[in-house]
Amino acid sequence: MTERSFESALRRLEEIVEELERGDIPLEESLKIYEEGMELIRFCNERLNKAEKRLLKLVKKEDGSFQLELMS
Amino acid sequence: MATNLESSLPLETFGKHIYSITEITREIKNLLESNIPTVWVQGEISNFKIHSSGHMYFSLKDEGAQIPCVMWRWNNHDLYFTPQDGMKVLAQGNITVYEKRGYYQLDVLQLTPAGIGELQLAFERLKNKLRAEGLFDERYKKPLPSYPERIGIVTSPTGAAIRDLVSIIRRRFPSVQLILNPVRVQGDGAAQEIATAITEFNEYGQVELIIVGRGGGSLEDLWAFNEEVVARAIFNSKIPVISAVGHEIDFSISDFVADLRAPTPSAAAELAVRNREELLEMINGFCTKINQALSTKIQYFRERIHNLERSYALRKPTDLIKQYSQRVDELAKNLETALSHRIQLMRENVDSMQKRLGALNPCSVLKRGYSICYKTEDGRIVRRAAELTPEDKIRVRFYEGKILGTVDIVEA
Repeated sequence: MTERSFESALRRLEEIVEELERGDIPLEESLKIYEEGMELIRFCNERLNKAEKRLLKLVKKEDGSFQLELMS
Repeated sequence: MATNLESSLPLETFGKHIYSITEITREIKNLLESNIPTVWVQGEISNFKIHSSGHMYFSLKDEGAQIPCVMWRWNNHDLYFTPQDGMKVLAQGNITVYEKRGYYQLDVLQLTPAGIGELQLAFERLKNKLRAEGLFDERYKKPLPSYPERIGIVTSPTGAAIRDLVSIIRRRFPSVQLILNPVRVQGDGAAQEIATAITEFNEYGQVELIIVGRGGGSLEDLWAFNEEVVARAIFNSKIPVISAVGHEIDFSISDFVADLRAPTPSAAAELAVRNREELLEMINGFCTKINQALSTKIQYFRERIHNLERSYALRKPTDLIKQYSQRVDELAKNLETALSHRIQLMRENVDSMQKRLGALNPCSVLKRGYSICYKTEDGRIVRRAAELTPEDKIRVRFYEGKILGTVDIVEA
């Protein structure tokens, strides 16, 4: 998983809400993390609204490595 | 089937023929193997062992006797259950003589539990054994991931279980990738396949959760999930495992070992992933909150700026002007006051001077009877008689009027 995970995005979002609601951050910083928050929201929504994935089958090859195939 | 135990050895030779061990053993072997057909026996298993070769060795016994048994790999590979010590079984096989070691044994072709009760007893025995080893302990149970991105499934590729799992997970969280490692879930070698599939997911490594299970069935149907090999594969799995076997009320050994038990495959799907609707709502909530928080913040800063605008420091220029104006007015007033005061003083001075002057006014002096004498010649006031000489013309002023005269005599 090279990209950000859904779970870590949600966690960061919770942090951002807390920080912004606390109100002791300077305005410029607030704007920056607001931007970050909106970006995370977009990301999470996109993840949640993604189309369903095809069912895959795990296959162990002779050399011991694994391969994923489409389930017919 | 010959039942007479007529020896092939003529009696008369007994005394004379000396048998080798091999020979006598062969006689015994022939006797037993030709005279006892394939039989069904019932007994209790003890000393059960499986060799790495796959051959099973055990004894069947009852209160009175016991017979050693062997069940070759090619006969036992499709057993749906693993025989356990204490299990009462029915075994079909042939009596054979193991010449090298000098005993007879039952070469088992088929083996089944002697009644359903046997399976249940076997279940209890294994459960107790594994529990004693600690395989069911809470402290080994791993927490499930909240948002698995990839889930491994071990079940039959056909049947209700996989259909339910896929449809419910898709409904709740469509972006999760499901990966099936298909297995047989009952009968021949199913337990080994299930165990291997779980191990393979661990080798593959790229799933965050494994669901293992099947739909409902009889105790024999579900038996694979009560086998030790499956229990150990689940226990050794580094990836969390949900066991979802059979109906609500069925409990399998796999259920006890797993990190979480689900009463059915459908329930497993609900436990495995969050519901997208809830999450969308939660995220909307976050969106509202951060928008709210930011606009509150901006509002706060606006007010601060507004207050600053109105504050003393920033109004200073106009205020200064006002202040100075006021000062000037004040000063002007002071000046005025001071001036008028001064004037007043001066007036008073003048008044007093006037009075003094008044006192010194020649006219008032004149009133008292004095007169002023002027020398007509130069108009000067005469103070001393010596300033005059006889015949000088003088003018004398009185309080009222004046006279012109000539000096007669000067007395200095």
